[in-house]
Amino acid sequence: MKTEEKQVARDVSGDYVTSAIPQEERKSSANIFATVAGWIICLSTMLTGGALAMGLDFKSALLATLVGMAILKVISAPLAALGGKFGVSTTMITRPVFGLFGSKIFGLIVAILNGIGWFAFQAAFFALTMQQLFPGSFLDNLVIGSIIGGFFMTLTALYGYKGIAILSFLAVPLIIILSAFGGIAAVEVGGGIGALVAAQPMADGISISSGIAMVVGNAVLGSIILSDVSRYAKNAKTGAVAASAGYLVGGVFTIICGLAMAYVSNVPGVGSTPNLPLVMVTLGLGVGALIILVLAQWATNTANLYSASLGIGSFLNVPQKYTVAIMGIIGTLMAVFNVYEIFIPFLIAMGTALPPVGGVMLADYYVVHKLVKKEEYSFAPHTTYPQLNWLAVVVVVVTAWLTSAPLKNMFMASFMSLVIAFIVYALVASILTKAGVKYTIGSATTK
Amino acid sequence: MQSKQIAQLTIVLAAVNAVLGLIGGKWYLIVAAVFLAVLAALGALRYLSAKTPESLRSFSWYNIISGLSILSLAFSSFYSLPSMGFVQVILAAVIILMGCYTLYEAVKKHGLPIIP
Repeated sequence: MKTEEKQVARDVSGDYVTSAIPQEERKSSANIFATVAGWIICLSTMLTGGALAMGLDFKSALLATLVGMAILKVISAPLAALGGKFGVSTTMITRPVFGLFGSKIFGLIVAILNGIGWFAFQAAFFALTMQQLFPGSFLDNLVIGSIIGGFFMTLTALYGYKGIAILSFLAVPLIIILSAFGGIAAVEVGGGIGALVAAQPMADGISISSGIAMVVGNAVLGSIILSDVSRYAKNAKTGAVAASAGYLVGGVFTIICGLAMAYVSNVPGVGSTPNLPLVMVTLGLGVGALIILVLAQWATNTANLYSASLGIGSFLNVPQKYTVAIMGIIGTLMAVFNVYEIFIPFLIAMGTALPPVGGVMLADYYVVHKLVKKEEYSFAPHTTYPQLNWLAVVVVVVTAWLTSAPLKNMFMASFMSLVIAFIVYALVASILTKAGVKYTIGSATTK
Repeated sequence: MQSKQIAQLTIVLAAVNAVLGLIGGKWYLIVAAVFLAVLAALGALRYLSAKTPESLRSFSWYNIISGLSILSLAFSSFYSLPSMGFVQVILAAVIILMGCYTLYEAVKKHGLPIIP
């Protein structure tokens, strides 16, 4: 019966969207590490390095990078451990936390945010990169660039986790090798290591804490949904170590490459960020630059679409390939018609709303369930979940509002919103549990 | 061609790449050529020391990654060799093709997944 249920779960979604990954299909640590590193290694992470170079000297920028990514590792490791332990996606993990209805809302937000909003943004960014790298060619046309980018990103995501893993397995080592040689080229052109270490900010200075906030803000969302990949790890420890290490190493490496190239190239920036594609061309990286930029954006956006399809699949009982294809087409069309621009305020708003979700998830499992209730989560078929955990929803909404409006200038607002949500939920839920006061509404049993 | 001979040929081509870098003279050309030569040779040596399907797959990926890296650096203006750059392009292409062939063997003949 168990095998039959497992088969049904896979047949409907195509990728264990609503059930745990069987142990025999779990992947090696190297596989998880490369896939996660491929997720964070992208042009926007490199641009974070470039943006740090605009406001900080090299040593301060390096410190901000290391501290920021270390903070993200602290957040991502315990969340990734949940994926490895239970073998389910982030949206599934939100079922016992927020209830079935709350989990559906989370899945919908992730789908709109990653699968459509960020996908469109990255596909359009891909077209812009191609335009700068190949002026005068057919890729100079933004519409063609967006369609080509969107098509290949969607095509890989159609193969689910396997597609992302194979792409990342090829892309990550290539990006690391070619970016490292890009860094060497930057150092050589810029006058050596001494000149790089002595490099001063390229524009108006910012504080180190602002630099740390930029690093954390760039990648905090990905660290919260790492379970979408770590669910393929063999156990909790492997999931936590391999996934968070991939995030840390990939992030630090990419930001430092962006830093080194931006400092020494003297290419004028676009707004507050340097024009890195042009920097790479200026440094004479040629085909290497093209490979880095194309593979980095391709791998990241494939993972975005995949993660979104897991969110949608948790409540829409349709094969995963259909949700991937539909979201990919919508995202590509939005990139073609520049409609993604209207999404930017929404993306920023959701970027503030999601970190508290991570705080509540950590508090609910590690404090309320493990320490207070002394219970484990269950994701087996016929499990009963609450319909809605109103306390979790209230904590997320209030914390997100506080850190997006009255406290938006607080040090590392996105990270602090996670910490505040963790503390408040852990305290209130523990007290209510001890007092026997129910903070959930209704209940339902899954099929 | 047997996988063993492909591994031996990889070591020879890697050595040629390292020598080309040394002829290039500049420190960064030497670092790039030697590093990528060692990467390619390492996979081949590991396969020759333990001829398992898994090490064949691993050797294939070493070849594909190092070959693509050599090729893309050879086409860049910063890392291209002042002379005999075409030799680097040819040897990189051969390394990539050999990597694809051995990966095909590991997957089709030995039934391994394409990545670990």
